[in-house]
Amino acid sequence: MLLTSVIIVLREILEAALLISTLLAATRFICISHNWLRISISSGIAGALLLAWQLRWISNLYGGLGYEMSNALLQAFIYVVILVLIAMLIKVYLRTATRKKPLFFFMGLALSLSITREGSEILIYFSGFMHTKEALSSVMIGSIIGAGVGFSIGALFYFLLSAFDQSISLKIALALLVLVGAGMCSQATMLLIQADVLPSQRPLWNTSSWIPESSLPGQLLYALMGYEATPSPLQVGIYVASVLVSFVVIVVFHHLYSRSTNSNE
Amino acid sequence: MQTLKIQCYLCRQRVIYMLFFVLLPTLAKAGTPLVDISIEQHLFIPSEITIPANTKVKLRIHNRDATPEEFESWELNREKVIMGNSTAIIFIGPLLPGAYPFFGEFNPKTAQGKVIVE
Repeated sequence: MLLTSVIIVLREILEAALLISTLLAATRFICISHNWLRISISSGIAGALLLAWQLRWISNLYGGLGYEMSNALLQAFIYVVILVLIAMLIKVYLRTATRKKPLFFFMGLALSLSITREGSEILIYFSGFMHTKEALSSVMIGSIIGAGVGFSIGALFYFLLSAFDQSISLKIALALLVLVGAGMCSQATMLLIQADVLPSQRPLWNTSSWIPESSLPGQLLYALMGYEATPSPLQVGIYVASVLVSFVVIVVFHHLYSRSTNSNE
Repeated sequence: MQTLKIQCYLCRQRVIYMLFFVLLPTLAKAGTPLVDISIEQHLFIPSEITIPANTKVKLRIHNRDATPEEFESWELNREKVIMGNSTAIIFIGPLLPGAYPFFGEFNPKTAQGKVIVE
C-alpha cells in the first residue's frame, strides 16, 4: 500500500513539477512576483477536485468513452496553451518592456490545467481509502514521500536549468516546452485510439528492452517528452507534426519580434 | 398547414439522417469481438484472456468493487480510470501473438492480468 501510493503520487506529481521548473527557469530573466504560482496551484487543485468528483458522470458520456474524450481534449488544450506561451516567452525576452500579465496568465493556465489532470487521479486514488482508516494513514505517508521525491526532482531540475546562462536556459526551456507539448498530443492520440475514435495500428518500434516505460528513466522521459516504448505510426506522426508546428511558432514569432525590436531602435 | 407538413417532413428526414450516423459506426463495430472482465476484491476475473492475433477487441471491464481502479498496461499502451461499481470500455489490438500483461494501478499487488494473443 505504502509503495503503491509512493509510485502513484510520484508519477503524477513529476509531470506537474517538471512543468513548473521549466516555466520558472524560462522566466528567470524577468523579475516576477510568484503570485501567479499561488493562484494557479490553488485553481489547479480546485479543478482536480471538480474533475475527480464528476469523473463518474464524465466517464459515461459518449457511450462510455467520456474519460478518453475529456482527457484528450484537456491535453490538446494544454498543447495550445503551450504554443501561446512559447510565443509570449519569445516576445517578453526580445522586448523586455512589454506587459507581462498575459504571460503570467498563460503560465498559470498551463500549470493549473496540468495540476487538474494529475491531481484528479491522485484524489480518485485517495477516495478508495476514505473509509478504511488503517490503510489511509499508510497511503498518506506514501503520498507525502512520493510528493517529496517528485518536488525534489523538480527542484533539482530547476537548479540544473538555472545553472546555464539566461539565454541558454531560455532555449532549453523552449525546447522542453516543445517536447512536453508534443508529448501531450501523442498521449491524446493514444487515448483516442483507446476509444476507437482513431484507428489502431501495430507499434512502429519497440524500445521497452532499452528503456522500459515503467522504469524511473522511462517515467522521467515520459513526463519530459511523452516517451512511449511502443508508439503507433499515428502517434509518432502526430508527435512530429506538433513539434513542427511549435518550431514554426518559434521561428515566426522570433522573426516578428526581433524585427519590430530593431525597427523601434 | 402546408409549412407545418414541410417542417414535419424535414424533421423526419433529419431524424433518419441522425439515426444513420448513429447506427453506422455501431454496425461497423458489430464485428469487433467483445471480452468481459470483472474486478472483484481487487482481482481481475478472469485474470487471463485469450484473443485472436491481428484483431481489434473491445474489452468491457466491470468494476464490481466500491473503490475506483485504474486499468493500466505498458505493453498494450492503455490506461483508464474505472470508478467503483461501474463499467468501462477499452479497445485493444490488432496485436501480434504474445503475452501482454495488464494491472490495476491502484491495487497492483493483487490486480494483475494478462492478454494472450494467439
